[in-house]
Amino acid sequence: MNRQTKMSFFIMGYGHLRAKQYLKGCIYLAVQIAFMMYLVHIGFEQIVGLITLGDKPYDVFNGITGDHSTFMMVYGVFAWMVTALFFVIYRVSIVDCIKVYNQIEEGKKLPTTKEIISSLVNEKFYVTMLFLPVLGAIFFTIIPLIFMVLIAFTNFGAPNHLPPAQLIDWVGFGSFRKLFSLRVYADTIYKIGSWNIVWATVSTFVYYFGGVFLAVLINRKGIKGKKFFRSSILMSFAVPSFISLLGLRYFFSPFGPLNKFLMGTFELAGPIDFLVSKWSARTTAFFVGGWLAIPTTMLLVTGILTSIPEEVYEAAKIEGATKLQIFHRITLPHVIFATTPVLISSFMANFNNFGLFYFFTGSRPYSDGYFLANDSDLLINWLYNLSLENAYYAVAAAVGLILFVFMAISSLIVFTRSKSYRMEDEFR
Amino acid sequence: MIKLRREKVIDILVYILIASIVIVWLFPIIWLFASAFNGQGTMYDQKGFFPEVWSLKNFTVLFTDTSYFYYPKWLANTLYIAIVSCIGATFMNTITAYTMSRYRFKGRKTMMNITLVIGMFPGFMSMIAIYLILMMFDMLENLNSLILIYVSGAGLGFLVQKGYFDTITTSVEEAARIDGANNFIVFWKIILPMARPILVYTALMAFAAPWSDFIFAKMILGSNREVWTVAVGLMDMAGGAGTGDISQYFARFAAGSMLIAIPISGLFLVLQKYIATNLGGAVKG
Repeated sequence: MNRQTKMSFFIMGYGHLRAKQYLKGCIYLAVQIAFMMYLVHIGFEQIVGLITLGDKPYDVFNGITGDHSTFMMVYGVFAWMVTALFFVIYRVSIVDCIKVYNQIEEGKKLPTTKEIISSLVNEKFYVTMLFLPVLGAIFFTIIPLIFMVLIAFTNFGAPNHLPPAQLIDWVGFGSFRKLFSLRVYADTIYKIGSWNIVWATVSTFVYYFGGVFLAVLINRKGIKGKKFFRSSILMSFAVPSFISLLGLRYFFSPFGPLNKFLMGTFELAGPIDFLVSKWSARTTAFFVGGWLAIPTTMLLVTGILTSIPEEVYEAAKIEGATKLQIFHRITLPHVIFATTPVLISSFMANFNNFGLFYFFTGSRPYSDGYFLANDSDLLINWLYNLSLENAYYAVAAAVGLILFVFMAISSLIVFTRSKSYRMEDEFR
Repeated sequence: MIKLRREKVIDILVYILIASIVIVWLFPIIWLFASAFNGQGTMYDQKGFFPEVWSLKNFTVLFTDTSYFYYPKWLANTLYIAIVSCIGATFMNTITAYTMSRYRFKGRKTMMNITLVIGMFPGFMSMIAIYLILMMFDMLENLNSLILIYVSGAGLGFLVQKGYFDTITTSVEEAARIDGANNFIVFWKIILPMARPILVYTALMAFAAPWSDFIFAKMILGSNREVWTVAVGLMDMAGGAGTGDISQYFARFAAGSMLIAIPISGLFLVLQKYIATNLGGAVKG
């Protein structure tokens, strides 16, 4: 390593400038100066701010400004990311500097400024293309996610830690401990969690086989108007779901049309509680969920059915197989094999079926024995209630992280499984 | 002979079964749309499932009585968001998908994995943070903030499009490169025309999204009724607009819903083939 490279450790771009690589040298130097100025002006304060989270709250009554803990967190996350980015560029500059001097030693010609720019269009084209998407993802997806993961380890939230009038602090795994040891939280998470798992399992299987059944039924030979039947059923999928769910909420409400009709026809004493008590709400939601979800499975399975070669069926018929046998031995295995990945992704979708339990049953009042949730809510709805409705941010973030871990583990299992599926296919 | 007759009986039974299923599926939608034509007082006064007095009153009211429900304004807002975010999101999505499909570079696999991991977080996790960030920059209750978020998140949804680009042969590109075309020309003149079906699909999906997004829109647009989108406004109508009586504005909600549901449903029915392929293809990765 020569003197110029060593100097580049302290002054970025020094080596490049000495080697007459003016464009790169100037950029690296500018990056370093900009970063230094950023650190001196606000960066350092923000980096420290993420650790302390402030020590002087706003005095709202007297209009005295202080430390806004959550803003400090957002700025802090940003500052740490800028710092990380700087060190990535720093490393790149050193590596490139070494490369440049190696090229000089070997007597190779160095790229001119023009060549460097044209390489951005050619070899490094992906950098140009991905610049905007990556920037967008960092600002509005990655920074918010990091922020929320960090929130899970603070005490941010109602009732005692809401900036600007109050400060927040790091509490480590405090929120998680609270979630499992404090009666109110622990009861709720246990009740909702078990219902959530039951719900996801039952609904996935019933909706899936409902879709297969519908597809096979309509696909029956000799049935006319297949297209019309399919499109009619697909209407429930085509209408934006929040509209149909809000409509159905009224449809099933105590004084809604269905109850009026039933009361008028059967002379009932009072309205049937489709959405009032725990299990009636859950059951009604189950049917409505099926009404929404079954058409997509049907659509998918219909496509797969047409991909089964006709000869297979012919051969089975010649062998004397009954219709039931054909369905059981040929159609069903084929469909299940082709749709397993979808089965899993629809399990995930059902597990986090926010829309159904928000628009349809979400207006039910919070239930006894549940903390800020009603007894038909799923974990994702509880997460929504906790955070956006009631400002229990830290607890909500902890619930969100638990959901994330659950999703990640299931996906991992699925991933390894589906690989073995593919291997199996190769052995055949 | 007996066998043939048995088949026929089964056929009839199957028809009856399918017909009843179709009725179950269509009834709520027909009922909802019929409610839009309810001509008497509130929905509460209606006796059966369908209106006794049919009228277009609910539709005219949507556009004339705008003292509390700014429906025309909401339509214009949503249309604006839909058009701008459709262009932006399609652009972001396409360049990401194309680059991820065609170029091999350091960190590509990492980026794909990060995308997958991000997808496993519940959507609301980041919402609060986005809310705070927008609050810091005083960007709440602003339509452009909503567009900014829709567009900047679009790059992450590249997997479906990438699958499509993967299926386009590279031979045409290589031929063009030999003729001296640079990357921009290859992308613009060769890839984009070949990828038209998926471009149309992406654009239409991006266009349809703002019409039915309620949660994000409500959070960012807040209580300023002037800047609401149709979805936020309709939710307000369906909930009785603070009166606690959900039958109060229900007919109006039905009318307002119908106006946006018909084009969107049409779109989905036309695109059903694509959607089915993507349902199957998205997971296979």
